[in-house]
Amino acid sequence: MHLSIAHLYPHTMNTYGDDGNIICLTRRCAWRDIITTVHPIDVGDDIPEAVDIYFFGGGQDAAQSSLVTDLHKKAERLHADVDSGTPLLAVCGGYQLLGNAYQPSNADRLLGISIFPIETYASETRMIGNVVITATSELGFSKDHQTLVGFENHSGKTQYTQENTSHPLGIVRHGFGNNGKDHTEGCIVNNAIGCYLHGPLLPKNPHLADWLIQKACSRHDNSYELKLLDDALEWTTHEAIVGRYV
Amino acid sequence: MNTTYHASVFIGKVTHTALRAVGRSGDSLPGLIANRIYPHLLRDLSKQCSEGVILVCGTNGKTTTCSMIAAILHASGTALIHNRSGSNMTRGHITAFLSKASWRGTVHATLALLEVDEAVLPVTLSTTHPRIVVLHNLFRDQLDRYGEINTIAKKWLSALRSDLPKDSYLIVNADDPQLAYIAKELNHPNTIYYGLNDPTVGSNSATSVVDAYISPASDKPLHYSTYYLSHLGNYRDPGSPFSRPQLTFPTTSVSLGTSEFPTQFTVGPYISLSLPIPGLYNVYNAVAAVVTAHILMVEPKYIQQALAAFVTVFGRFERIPVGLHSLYLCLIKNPAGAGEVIRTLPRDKPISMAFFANDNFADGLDVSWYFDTSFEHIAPQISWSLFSGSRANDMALRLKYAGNSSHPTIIENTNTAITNLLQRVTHEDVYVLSTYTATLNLQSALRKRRLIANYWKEK
Repeated sequence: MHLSIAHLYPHTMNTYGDDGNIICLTRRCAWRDIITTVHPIDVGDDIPEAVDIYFFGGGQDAAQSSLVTDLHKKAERLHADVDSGTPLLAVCGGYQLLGNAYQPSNADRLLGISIFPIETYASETRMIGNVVITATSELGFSKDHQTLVGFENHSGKTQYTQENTSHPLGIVRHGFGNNGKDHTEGCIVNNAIGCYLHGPLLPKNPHLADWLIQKACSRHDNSYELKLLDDALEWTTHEAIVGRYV
Repeated sequence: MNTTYHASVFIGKVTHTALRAVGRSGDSLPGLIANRIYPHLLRDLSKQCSEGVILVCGTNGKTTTCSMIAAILHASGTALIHNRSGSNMTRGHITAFLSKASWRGTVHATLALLEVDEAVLPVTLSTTHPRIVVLHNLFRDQLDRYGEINTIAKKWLSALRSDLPKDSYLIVNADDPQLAYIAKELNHPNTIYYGLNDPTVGSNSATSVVDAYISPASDKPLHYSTYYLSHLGNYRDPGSPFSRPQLTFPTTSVSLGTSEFPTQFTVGPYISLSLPIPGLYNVYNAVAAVVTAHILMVEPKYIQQALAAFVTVFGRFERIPVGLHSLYLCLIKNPAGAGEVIRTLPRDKPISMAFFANDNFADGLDVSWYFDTSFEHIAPQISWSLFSGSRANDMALRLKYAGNSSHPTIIENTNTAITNLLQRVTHEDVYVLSTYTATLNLQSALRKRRLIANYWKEK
């Protein structure tokens, strides 16, 4: 098995340990003898022909506005891949730009590329802290591992633009989530996940990392099953955060 | 001076004396209490220094830079107020003054040297009317506390605009684009730029997390001809005339040392130096100290003597002998600093390491920077590893993904972990990396075991 991972804007959008998600994906693949190639895709770069997993991290406001024009040039391709089921993970700034729009506090409104039916408005308060959510059943996680843990740090408040058809990544049990009000966190569309959870997200949530890898492998081989790994340390780290806050 | 001033000094000094009597360092609380009684205390204390106040601010290297400046001034015989423990908020500044003030509130020193927390700089600027301000660097550090780097840079610029005295010196690390941009916007008459001019110790590609990738002048990615340390380097902006300013004091002929050989370099045409501690980050620290001392008109021989005999401050690659072997203590706070610490660890041989990782407020609540730190450069060599602190699991997990193949011992309780650690040191050297509050805990535990002295009892 060989997976091609596209890392969108790794130089400008890498604020909160975002590379950790790439490290996690490549390591967990390597431990299973799945070969990975990571393609860093910056402003002006073309997306390679075949992409199995997309990752898009967070950045400062200035970084976000510097790449939004380029992102629109890539929009058609990203839509096509998400529609056909390519797994994608977008965190914080990446999540916001893949929504319909982001309104910064002292700058022009940035139009996103509408992968996720969300809109984000900068607010005065920063939402900072550890987060624990119960993940949506769409992810099919086992009964023992329903939670996702991470750390959020954002002033943008995110709302769904389609009330009834929007799917949250999960329900907040500790922390703020999308907007600190409606207890939702993140959004899931097909196999594309957007969220505010960094920390980074994947190392402490091995079930989510494997969900992305499994989705990617299944598109090559329907019957492909991931080898089990020793995740004792991953789960101890995960449970320590759940135990502290929930 | 009024009655409230005298009362606040008196109560501050009583608190300080009481804390020292019970064996505590008391670097913050006296200043905190005294400032509550009299909010203008720092202003009234600092204006008594006839030779002025020096402020040193930046993300990494403040404590080491200040302690180098202090060592140089000590060698030249200047009496100094200095918040040497690294307590760098207003309360720590006041405490430093109180320890050199009489019970009547008269300050017995002509010059003050203050290490200043990034978020506190605007307050310190407006209260102390400094003679020299050193802007050392701006790295990603505790985003949960300080916010984005751009936000800090904006706050510094506006504080310097309103409160930097016209006749004071602004000493700026020109290799840091954010700081050079602040200086350019400020256009202060006495601006001194230091930086490196020696591509042999740099790289032409970014080696680690780059924080100032986007030009503050044009929002375009900067072009670098040389990267020295993270985003510090020789850069130009493709979208505007902004580029690294002409260096007033270029540093050349850098030869990086090891634990056996000293680091050597030349600052300007001015002075050749030898420094007994490793790491390019320490070259930056020393250059900032040398330039500051030069502005203070210290004779070069004192600068050379003091740096050649420089001993690291606590937790900055400090060696603690235990029997036949040693513990090396290294404070890690953020990706850039931790990356430089990792670059100075021994290479190409198995290494025993301990990690003490906390997520208290002063450490940063957000531990995602563990994954921004290039532990990959050391993890495969680790033959024994111990993890402790409130985020021991997160750190152990980070090292697992960096390629640590040793079996990690995880002991959350600091004291139990230290016992385990000291047992290991009876067999071989151990390199300890710890976050800020974990370093303080280690310090106090090692003091209790009489492996290190109380620093306030040193000379």
